[in-house]
This record gives sequence, structure tokens and C-alpha cells, in this order.
Amino acid sequence: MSDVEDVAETQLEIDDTEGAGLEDDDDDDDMEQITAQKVLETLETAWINEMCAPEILPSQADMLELMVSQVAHMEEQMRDLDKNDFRAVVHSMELERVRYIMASYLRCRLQKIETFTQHILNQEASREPDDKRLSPEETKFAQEFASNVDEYFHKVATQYMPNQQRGEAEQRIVTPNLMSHVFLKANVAVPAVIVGVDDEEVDMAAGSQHIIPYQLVADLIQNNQAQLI
Amino acid sequence: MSRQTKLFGEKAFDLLKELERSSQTIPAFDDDGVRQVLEEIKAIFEENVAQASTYNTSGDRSLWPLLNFRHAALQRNKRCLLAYLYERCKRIKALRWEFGPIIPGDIKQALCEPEVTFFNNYSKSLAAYMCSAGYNQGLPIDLTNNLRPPKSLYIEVRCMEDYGKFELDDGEVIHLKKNSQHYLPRAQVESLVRQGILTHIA
Amino acid sequence: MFVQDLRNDFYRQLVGKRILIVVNYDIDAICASRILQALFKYDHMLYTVVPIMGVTGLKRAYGEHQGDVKYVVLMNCGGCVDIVELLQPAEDVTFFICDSHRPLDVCNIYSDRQVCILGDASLEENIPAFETIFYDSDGEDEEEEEDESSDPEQQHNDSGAGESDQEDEAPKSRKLSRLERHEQRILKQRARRQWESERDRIMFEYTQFSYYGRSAALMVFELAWKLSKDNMDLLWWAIVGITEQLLLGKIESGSYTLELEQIQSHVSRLTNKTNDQNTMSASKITFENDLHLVLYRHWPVTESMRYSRYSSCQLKLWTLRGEKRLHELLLEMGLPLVHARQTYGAMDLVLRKEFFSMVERLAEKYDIADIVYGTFTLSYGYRSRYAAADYVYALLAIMESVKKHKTPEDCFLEASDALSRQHKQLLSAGIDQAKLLHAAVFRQVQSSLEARQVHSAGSFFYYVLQEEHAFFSYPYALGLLARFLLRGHVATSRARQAPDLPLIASCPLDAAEGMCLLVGIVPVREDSPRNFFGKAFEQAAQKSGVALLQDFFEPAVVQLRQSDLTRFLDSLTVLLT
Repeated sequence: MSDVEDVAETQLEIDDTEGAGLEDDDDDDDMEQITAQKVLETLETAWINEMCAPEILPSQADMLELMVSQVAHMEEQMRDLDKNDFRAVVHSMELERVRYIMASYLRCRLQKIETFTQHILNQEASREPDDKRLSPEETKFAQEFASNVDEYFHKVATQYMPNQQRGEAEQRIVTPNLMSHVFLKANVAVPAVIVGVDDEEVDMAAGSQHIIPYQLVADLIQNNQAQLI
Repeated sequence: MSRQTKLFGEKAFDLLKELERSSQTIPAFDDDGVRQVLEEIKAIFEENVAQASTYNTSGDRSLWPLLNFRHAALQRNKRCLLAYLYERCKRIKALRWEFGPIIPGDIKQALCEPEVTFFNNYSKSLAAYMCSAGYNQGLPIDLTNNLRPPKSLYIEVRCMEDYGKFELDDGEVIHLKKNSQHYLPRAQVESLVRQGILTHIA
Repeated sequence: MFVQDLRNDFYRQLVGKRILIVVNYDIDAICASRILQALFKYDHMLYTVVPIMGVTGLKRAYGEHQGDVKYVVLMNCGGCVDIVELLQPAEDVTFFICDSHRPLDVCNIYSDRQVCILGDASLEENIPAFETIFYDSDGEDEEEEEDESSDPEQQHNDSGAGESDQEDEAPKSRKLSRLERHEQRILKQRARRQWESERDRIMFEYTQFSYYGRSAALMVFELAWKLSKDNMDLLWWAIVGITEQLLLGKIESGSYTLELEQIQSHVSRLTNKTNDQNTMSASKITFENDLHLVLYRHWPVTESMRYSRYSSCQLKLWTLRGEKRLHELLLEMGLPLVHARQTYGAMDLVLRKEFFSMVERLAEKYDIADIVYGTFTLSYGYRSRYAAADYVYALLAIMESVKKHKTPEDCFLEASDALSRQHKQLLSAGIDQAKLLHAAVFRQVQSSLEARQVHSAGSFFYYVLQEEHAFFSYPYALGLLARFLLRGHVATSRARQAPDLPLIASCPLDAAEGMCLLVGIVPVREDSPRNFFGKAFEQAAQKSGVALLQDFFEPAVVQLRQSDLTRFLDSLTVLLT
């Protein structure tokens, strides 16, 4: 990971001197303090969490957006470098990696959306606007996908079935198994986490690792007190 | 009562087995099978309706188990049928990721009309999503690229068919001819590799 | 132009450029290109590899990539033809030639920029001096003008060209009378003619024999070494490259032995560098004395003895008596027939360990002293152990395993793949294919000798296969057959001059097109592999008016119409007596 940081730092310097796009684009105040490296770290954690968690997690669209502009910016810088420069090779490899992480993150979310479409849409509908887990684009995709699948089912099969048998769409909803076990690492010390059915409690030391059903620790992950591994 | 010689739901189960066992990317849509299952569902349903109405009038409870059994068979048929369709859905989605927005001709023949529509719609919404994923930077992220973690910037590839000229980002023109071997930037040739024009040699 | 400092004048020039590597169909070239590719990969240089067969292939390959690439590396091809003349490249295209074929074309040697030959000029033999073969074209112009011009024009010429030479000459010639001028012209013409015949003689001497220089693979490996990018794999490929040269009789065993020493030092250096020499599973190259027996590690001993050219010809194993002698040898070695007849790998471990010393001990007695030679073996893991020769034979067999659905290019790429360690199954398949090939060669030799199909034309032997053959319609296999056949024939022939005569073998290529393949093999007694057939074929073709296709980069392998064969051989007979 040291590569990642190196490049991110180099990039950061460039940003500082030029006062480029990063800050200007964002009206969010606390965003201004964020460094390129921090963005990448957050994104990496989000990516790993997303890969390991059974349900869909809140979208990191903001981070992603920052990263995209960052990558674009770096590419701009790279263009001036001689392509046989050793640094160029390292940097472009790094860019490839970042791009892979972003793509993989988005793909992972899409896959969850496709699998649990109806479930996710139902949940989203019941959430407050601030709590929404999908980005607007994802929501649109999910809705389109749901209607698309329904249309296909209807055309091929359900329309030929007897009336009473057509409904029961709710029977088809696929829900993630939230009780599946996950590996996790505590970022900070978390006292008295309830595990198991009979209210057994465990104190998690910072940096300790555990195997635990997802649902019991879902809130820790969202609060960034722990991360999946 | 000719149906009594065979089991309920057999056909539906066959559908699934066939699909599961086929080694093709996607086997041809089994129009006939789907119709038969639908007919079976209908037939069972009608019998049940008929007997349920006699129950309503006569109050004869001796038919209860039979009704329940038929209902279960019907449910099972439906489940199998939808599972069949769902699995095909999944494979069609995989096609989009593998081959891009245009279905190869030979595979297209295996799909039925609604499936093609499904593919096109799916393709459209995926493309729309990918465009918007680049956000206001105007930089669409092609999610179908970067499928594997990058190991190296360049890969060694062998050309499997005459493709012609291929231009790289930096303006270099590569003449891709059958049986020639090249060392090229991975990111730029990944799609060609997926299409089978190039093969990656380890 | 020769480029001696490969690191600075070749590799550094190429860094960061896009490169076209054109590779000839031979194992040395494949090995060399694999090493070069590995180097290019380390430096992230884009390259394209194109396999080619013959001059037409080279032209086509260059034509396809023309304009896109500025740097072309030719592996074991192109050294003996005038590249600039042949390909008509644009000014800014540079060719680097790494070719073990000799003699090199003089135009390539004296090209000042566009053509660079990798290698050491001082190692090359009797290259004609520039003045002796190229007439100074400035002088020529002047002379011609002088011939035709009248005085006023000459004056104009005088003022126009300010060369000192001309200035001295021009006023003098003006004073000369017409007669004197005429005389001078005749003198000049005579001198010119003399010079021309001298040039022709020099050129003939230079091009008379075709032979081979240093292995291209070894040369590229040394580059890798100087760049500190060498490793075990690259070294092994270099070894395979030079072993091919030895086994196909391209170089003398003397020059092979000289190279061995250097390779040994590379081996020990690299072995010490990789510290895992203790683990059995690591790849390891070892130098050892080995036997000139084809694939004997993968074959029963009896088979291998029978199908190897050297042992087979010395013991005349195709005869009944030879068979008896083989049994005698095995008996004396203490190798039970049960063991000798099963695959080497399944032989008793004790016997396997002693096999080499058993053969070595009796080699003198059975007149097979030369069966021992120094070579390298590659072992990795617990099971795989290959001699360099095994690789060579396997790759050869793969390269010529052309079938209907398998183009020569496929075979080439497969052979190239078989070099890497990940593709062991390709190599094993190649070894099996090689066994078939060698068994076929032996059977053909046996039947041909029994039917006395090797004929003498006085100054050479010839052998003509009448039908297309699954194996022998390819140059290398036909070469193997011809060499085996010549040795076998010499061993059985009573004629005293037999060991001094070369052999020409021919096999139909393609019945539909009526073409056949012709190879010339040097005499058995001749130690140096210098082959005069290239030039001889060319001259015989000129004399007889037969259209000859000298497309291969091996000059002693040609194609011609089958109907012309007799006429061609007749004219060759006349030429060589």
C-alpha cells in the first residue's frame, strides 16, 4: 500500500500548488480539508466493506467523485512525463489500480442491486432522504432493472398464468442473509458488543479481529468503528 | 386423466436441469417446455377450481388433501418456471458484461423475443448508469473494463484472427494479424482479449 | 555496419521505441527472440513478434508493418540479403540484424546507418575490403563524363565541381591529343575490367561457402547479462539455442566447446545468485558429460541407440549384424535387456545412475568414442530433467508438425510456448512427436540403404524421395534424414572416396504444385560445416536455366519444380566435376 500513499502524496502537492479543481468544485466545507490520500483510504475501506457485507451499504458517491477528478487530474499530469520514465510506469500502474478499485466497487454495488432489487427498493422507499443508501443513479438503475425483469417475466410466463397466481410478487423478493458471518477488525475499542442470542457481550479492543454475524455489527461498520476484512 | 401416468412438475424440473447442465453460454430458449409447464399449471388450476366449487356447494371435505396437494404442485411448477427464467436472466446479463452492447449472432438465435428486449433494456440502463457514474467530470467509467485486478501495465498477447490496424492512445498503430505476437498496454487491449481476437499468454 | 557494444548501440537505442521483431523458423532464432522479448518486457517496451519463413515472408511481414514501426530486429534472417535493396525501407527505419547465417551480405556490412549487424567485426572472416568491391561512384561519374564529353563541356564540369582530384586531372586532359585520350580511355577500361574480374573473384570466394556464426540466442543472452537482467530461464534458452547449432551440424564441435566454458561460468554465477540451490524443487542447470543418444531419458535405451545417428551408423544398427553387436554391447555393459527395452525412466535406479559410465567405459571398444559430449541439463522439481538436446529435438518436431488444421505459424508459436516452463505438456508432446520423427528417419534410412537408393553422380551422392512424406517434406526433417543417410551410406559403402562426397536429398513438397525440396549436405569427413551447395545450386540453376526458389535463409535448402530435377542434377554434375 505504500505505493498508493506515495502517489497520492505526490499528487497532493500538485493540487496544493495549483489550487486545482478539488476544492472549487465542492461547496461542502469539511471537504476542503480532505486530502487525496484520505479519499483513497476511505474508498478502499468502503470497497472492502462493500465486498464483504451481505447487504448494500451507503453509497460513497462523494468520495468516488473526488477520486474520479483526482484520476483525471493525475492523467493530465502524466501526459507531460516521458513515458519511459520510471516514475511514469509506477504512476500509471497506480492509476490502473485506483481505477480498478472504483470499477470494482461500483460493480459490486450493482451486483447487489441486481440480486436484491425489490428488497433494496422497498427499504429505500422507507428511508429518510438523508439516509438513502443508493445514489440517485443507482436508484434509477434499480428501478429500471426491476421493471425490466418484471416485464420479461410477464411477457414470457406470468401473463399466461391463471389470474390468482399472478400476484405474489412479494414472494419473489430476495433478501440478503444478514446473519451470515463476516470477518471484522475493530478500528477503535468498542465495549460491550452484544453477540449471540442470549445477550452475551464482548469487548472489542482496537485492532482486534472477530468472526461475527453481520447484523450484530452492522452499525459499527456504518459508524466506522470497525471494518470488514 | 391421462396425466396421472406422469408426475406433476416433472417438465418444469426438466427445464431447470437442462439449463443447469448445458455447457453453452446460453442454451436455446425452450419454448415448448415453457408452454407445457404453463399448460400444466392451467390444467391443475382448472381442476382445483372445479373441485373447489363442488366443495363449496356440497361441503364435502374429503377432497381437501387433494386440493392442497394440487396447490402445492402448482406452486412448485411456478417456482421452477420462474427459476428457469431468472437463471436465463442472469446469463443474459452476463452476456452484456462479456460481449458488450451487441449480442453475437449465434447467441442471439438462442434467445426469444422478450429476452432480446430484456437484454436491450438492460444494456441501455447499464450504459446510462455508466455514463452518469463519471458524474459531472464528464468521464464515464467503463465498468466492463478493469474486470480483474491489474497485475502489470502491459500484457503479452497473441493475435487469433486478422483484425487490421489498431491504434493505441499514444498514436502508435499496431497491425494485428493472425499469429503475430504483441506486447501491449493491458488497459487498451482488454476488450479485444475479451472478444477473443487476442489471447493473453502467460 | 557492425554494432559491437550491444548495450549502448543496440539496446539503449531501442528503449522506449516500438519494435518489430521478425523471427526466422529456427530454434536458435526462437530462443533469441524469447530472450529479447523478456528484456523488452522488463523495460515496458511495446513490441510485435512475427514469425517468417524465407525471403518472401520477410518482405510480406515488413510490408504489413511498414510505416508503423521505425525499428526492426531481424532474428536469424536477413543478414545474407541486401536488406535495403530487398525491402526498400523509408529513410528513418533502422534494421538491427542478429543473424548467425554467414556470409553476411556486403551491402549490409557497409551500410552506414540503416542496417546494423549485431556482432563483432573482428570475429568475421575475410570480409572483402570496401575498395575492392565497391567502385567509387564519384570516380565513375567522372569517367563517364570524360568518355562522352567534348572540351567545352569539360570546362564547365571543371568549374562546376571543385574537387581537387578533378582539378588536377582536367587541365592535363585538355592538353592531351585525341589519340592520347583514346589510349588513356582504353587503359582505364582495361584497369576497370581487371578490377571487375578481381572483384568477382573476391566476391565468389567470399560467398562460395555458406556457414554459421555465433548463436543468436547466446549473443542476446550476453546482452541480457550486460544489462544485469539475466536469469536461469534466459540462460537455458541460450543453451538450447547453441545446442541446436551443434545438433544440426551448423557449427563445429570445436567452437561449441569454446562457448561451453563461457556458458559454464554463467551457470555457476546464476546458480550462486539464486540461493535456493539446496531445494530440489528449484530450477537448476548443471553441466555434465552426456551421450549423443536421441532423447534417451524419455525412451528405452535400445530404441534411442538405434535411432541416434552416431551410434546407429557406427554400429550399423539397421543390419542384423548390427543388432547382434548392440546386444553384445548391452551385455558387456551389464544392462539386462528387460531394462534396456523399457522406458529409461522406469529402469532400475542403480542402472540409471551407472548408465553413462557404462557406455563411456565401452565407447572406445565399440568405436563410438565421440558419443560423449559436454552439455547442460535442466532440472526442476523432482521429476522433470531435460537435456538441452531434448528441448531441441522436441521443438524441431513441433515446428514441423504442420497438419491440415495447423499452419506453420501455429507450429512456430507452439514451439515458442514449449520453451516456457509453464507449458510442460507441450514439451512432452513435442518429445513424443520427436520420437516418431526419429523412428521414421531410421526406417527410411534402413529401407533406402537396403534398396540402394543412394546413387553416386561421381562428385556427389544424390537421393530422391518420390512421394510426399508426412515427415520429410519439411527442411529440418529432410536434413536430418539426409545426414543420417549419408553417414549410413558411407558406413556401408566400400568406395574409398565415399566419406569425401556430399549428398543431395530431395523430397516432393506439394504434389499438386509439383514442387520439391532439395537439401545439400556436407561430406562426412569434412569437419567444418561449410557448405558450398548454396552457391553451387545457384550456378547450376543459371547454367541449366532451371527456375530455382532460394527462398529459405539456409542457402543449401532450395525448392524447384520436380520436372526440372533431372536437368538440374545433370548440370550440377557437370559443374562439380
